[in-house]
Amino acid sequence: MSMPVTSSFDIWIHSAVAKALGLALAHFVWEGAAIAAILAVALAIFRGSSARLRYALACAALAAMPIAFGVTFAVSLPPSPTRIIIPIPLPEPSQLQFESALQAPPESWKLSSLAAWAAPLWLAGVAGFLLYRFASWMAAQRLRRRGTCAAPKEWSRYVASLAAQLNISRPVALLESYLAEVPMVIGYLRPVILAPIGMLAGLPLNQVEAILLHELAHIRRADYLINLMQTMIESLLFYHPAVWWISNVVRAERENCCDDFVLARNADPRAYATALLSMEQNRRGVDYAAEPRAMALAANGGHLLKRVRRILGTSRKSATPDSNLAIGPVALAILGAGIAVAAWQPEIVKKSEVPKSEIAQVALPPTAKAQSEPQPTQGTISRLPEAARSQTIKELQPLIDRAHAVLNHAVLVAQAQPPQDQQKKQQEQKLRQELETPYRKWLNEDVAYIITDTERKAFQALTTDNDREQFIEQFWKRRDPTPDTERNEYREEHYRRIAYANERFAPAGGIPGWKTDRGRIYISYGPPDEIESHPSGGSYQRPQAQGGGTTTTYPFEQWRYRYIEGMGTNIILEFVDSERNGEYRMTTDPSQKDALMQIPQSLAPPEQRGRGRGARGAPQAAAAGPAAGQPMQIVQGVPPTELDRRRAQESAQFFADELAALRTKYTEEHPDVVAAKARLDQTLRNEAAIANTTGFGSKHSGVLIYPGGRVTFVIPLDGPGPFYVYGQVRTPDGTLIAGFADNSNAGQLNYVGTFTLKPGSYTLWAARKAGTEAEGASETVTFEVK
Amino acid sequence: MSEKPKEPGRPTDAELEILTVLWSLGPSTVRAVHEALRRRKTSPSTTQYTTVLKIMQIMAEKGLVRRNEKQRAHIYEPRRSREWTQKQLAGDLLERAFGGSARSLVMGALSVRKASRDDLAEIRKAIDEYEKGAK
Repeated sequence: MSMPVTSSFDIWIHSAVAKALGLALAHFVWEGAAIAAILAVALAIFRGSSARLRYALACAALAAMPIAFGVTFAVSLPPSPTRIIIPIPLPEPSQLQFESALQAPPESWKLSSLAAWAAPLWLAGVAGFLLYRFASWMAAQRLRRRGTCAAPKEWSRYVASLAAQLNISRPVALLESYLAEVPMVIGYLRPVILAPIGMLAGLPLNQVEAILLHELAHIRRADYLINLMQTMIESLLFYHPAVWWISNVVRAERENCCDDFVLARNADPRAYATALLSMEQNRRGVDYAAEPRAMALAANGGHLLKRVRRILGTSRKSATPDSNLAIGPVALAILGAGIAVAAWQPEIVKKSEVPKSEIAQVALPPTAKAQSEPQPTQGTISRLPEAARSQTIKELQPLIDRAHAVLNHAVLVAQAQPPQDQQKKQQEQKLRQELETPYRKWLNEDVAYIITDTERKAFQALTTDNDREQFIEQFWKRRDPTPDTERNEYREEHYRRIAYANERFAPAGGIPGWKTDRGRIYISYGPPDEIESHPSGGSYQRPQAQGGGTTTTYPFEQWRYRYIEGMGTNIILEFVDSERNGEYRMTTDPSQKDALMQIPQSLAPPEQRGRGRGARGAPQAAAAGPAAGQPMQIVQGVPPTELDRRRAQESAQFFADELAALRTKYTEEHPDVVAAKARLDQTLRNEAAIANTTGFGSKHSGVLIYPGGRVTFVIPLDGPGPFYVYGQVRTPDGTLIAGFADNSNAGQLNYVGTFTLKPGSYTLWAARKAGTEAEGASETVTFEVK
Repeated sequence: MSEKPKEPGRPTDAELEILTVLWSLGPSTVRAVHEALRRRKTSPSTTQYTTVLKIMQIMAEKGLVRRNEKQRAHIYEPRRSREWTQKQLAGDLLERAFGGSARSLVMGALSVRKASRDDLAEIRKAIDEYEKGAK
């Protein structure tokens, strides 16, 4: 080939480097295909394996691409001496030929001189991609600043504490962004989570938490950085479809990894899937994604659908067969292409452009993207207890139910999910049937008030009658004050109390005595030290603190206990028979017995109560008081535990005062209260923010929902304490369903309480305050009882 | 307040922050906005009440917010929806050219591409089925 050598470009493309490049580019056609084929086979083999493994495989394959290319290039380079010659313009063709004859085999030289033309085209392509990527990166950096606003303090704190728990040492900022239509993470050294406006306030708490957890998982895994490197590889080897395919596998598996991460910490797949769905729906009009981008070379269609199916563990039926079928042929096709290309290698080198297009045709149809295999649900579920189990305490550890373990862990709001797989469902059914035996009665009647939640769970987890017998024996033994003797005084006394309660407290034609409020208290705490009984009601001198004067009351009883463990000294409990049927209900509000004052609580709007209480101390304030101190109503008859045992007369007044204090503070600080108040009471979460309380800090409150409507909640108590804890359960329309107020013990880690609620959705607003704190902390959890 | 303010221009970053608060709180007083900004740890420039007041007055002049002077404490509300403002912001060149690509560089729970309507329906179905199965 005789060349009219005119420019340095011509010289360059015929230089040894350019030729080596051309060779490497050509060889990479089959190398890339081979790597992709290996990956496809590996992914097929590890179909059911964890996303982490598959992700690692894909990453390795992707990293192998530039390495293969680089090695080929290095090998194709002539030995070093010639490289010195490269920059020196040597226009003499004869001389070039002479040199090459020295250093390279003659045929290869000829072939590669043709292949060398590929190098400049490739370089131009790489430059173009890199420029485009750089601009994209600039745009991403701008997203951090433009149209963003720091998220509310509670959320920032929550993210910070969660990041600390996940061992993320870099500071994570949470911003609300106008431009972000979906939540995203930007940056590696100083990562920022952008939440689209409205996400934090608009989605239910547990869903927001799941999404944030996903983003934090990205940060923890340094995905932003890895993705940058990934795009570099894409830019470098942009001409090979296999690179894009692998890159997409990496992306898909990366999301799967993060999904697994979320599910391992947040037990509710449904909430997570729902969160993803609503985020996707909330994407707003600006339609960047619709435009075809080089980035999204492989079709992304159905990506989210596959993920949701995977999250819910339902993909087995529909999604799997397609991807199975797809992977096989694709792997074969790639393998075949690779072998063919390898066999015809000389051809390729002659006409380096042709095989590329051939490969491109063979290469994966968009649907062939090896979507990760649905992971068996078990994987997700069983990982959960392992993480949480270590947190659980006590000798009953191995028996404790998983859900309960999560509860103690109290990291996140978690909705107890009914069992997901068939097996567990059957087990549960079996359990239910089995419990239709004396043991069920034992659990739900005999010891309903004294069994701890942990013990209850443990007992429910037992499968054989033998185990149950043993458990019961141990149960009493643990409580026996004199374990050495044959007699168990505790058990005797307990059954005596039940008998007494059934005999004395049963209302006419109604529930058994042990189920009544008086029965519950009697069984839990024994005979009171003093009983003041007013069986016929009638005239009653109202104490000065309640406004004084004389009023007419329902029949009522006051029980005085000198001391109740966990509650304090001189506890006075009041029971009112407002229906005059002999069923005295415990009230925590002194005005409950006041027949003239009864107004349905739910009718009094919260803001009115607030205002009334604002003028604390005035008699009229006390008169307006009942609503805030609404006694807890147990809506259904399942025996309450822990909480009920503790609910006490003192709590009501305190609860009311606390709320009043919050409201007073709010009212003083915000003269324009009228406009804001409506919103205040619409979402109690805002109330917490506006009233200048803070979130619970490092931990979060949690709600666990059990079958039958039993709802257990946790308020973390981090600090020396003791704390006052108080809160309300409301329906979405704001009706007060139940309230509670209590004192924690010093050193207690979590406050755990239980409600039983009818099906429906509820908001639990819970607050805690230590005596030394100027401001308490509160949080809101919205949940649904099925 | 001038009769019909002309189309407001693109808000500055500080203005955007205030708009953020107004969009999430609804019509509010300067005091409330200031309070909200203070609670969200923001740049020092917006922490002064007078600064917020000044910016919001400017915003009213620009027509970014509307001022209700009926009450003693003036109540401000955003003149434009956030969707509209978002489009304004998105109109800028860099954003238009590289916004989509930038989104492929960031990490997030949702992919770059929107799910199709069919997909959304399918997803909803999957969740419903799951719920049914769980019951």
